[in-house]
Amino acid sequence: MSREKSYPIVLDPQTRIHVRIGVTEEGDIEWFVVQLLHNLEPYYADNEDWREIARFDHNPDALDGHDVVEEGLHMDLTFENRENKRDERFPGHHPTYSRLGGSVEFCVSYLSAEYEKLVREYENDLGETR
Amino acid sequence: MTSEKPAEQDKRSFEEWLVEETNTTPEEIEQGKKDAEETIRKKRAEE
Repeated sequence: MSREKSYPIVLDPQTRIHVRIGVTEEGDIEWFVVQLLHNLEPYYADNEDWREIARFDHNPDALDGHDVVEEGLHMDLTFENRENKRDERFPGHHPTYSRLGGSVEFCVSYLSAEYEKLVREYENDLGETR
Repeated sequence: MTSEKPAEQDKRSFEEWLVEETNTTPEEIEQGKKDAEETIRKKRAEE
């Protein structure tokens, strides 16, 4: 049994990373989700409309959940207008069950460095279907 | 697709939070960061 903990990271007024992890009493990470979220509304608007752009996740006990130790770490690009969703694989990082914190750090570092490119790609994708 | 509004920012850095809330060591964090930097460097070189 694990407890859920979360940590939001503000990248700019319109873009955030949201980290959620399931942690056992012993401090082991059982599952994690690292999402890149983008607000489609202007930052000065009263309303907010946060959409998921990209996601890393590990949850072997869930139905259809990924196991990054077995499958390798990968990022799902969850652009809503894509008929064929794609993912990016990261063979340079080797997750293990006892060191999943390092994998979570990988996801956060990667998204922090690449978020502008991913947001541009998302906005282009959105523009093409408007 | 569902919209999601994140919670407020923690006062600790992400790395401090990860070390304090889990068994993750600073060495594991450094390794994860290094792997990401190397991955980004390779991807950008290929583009």
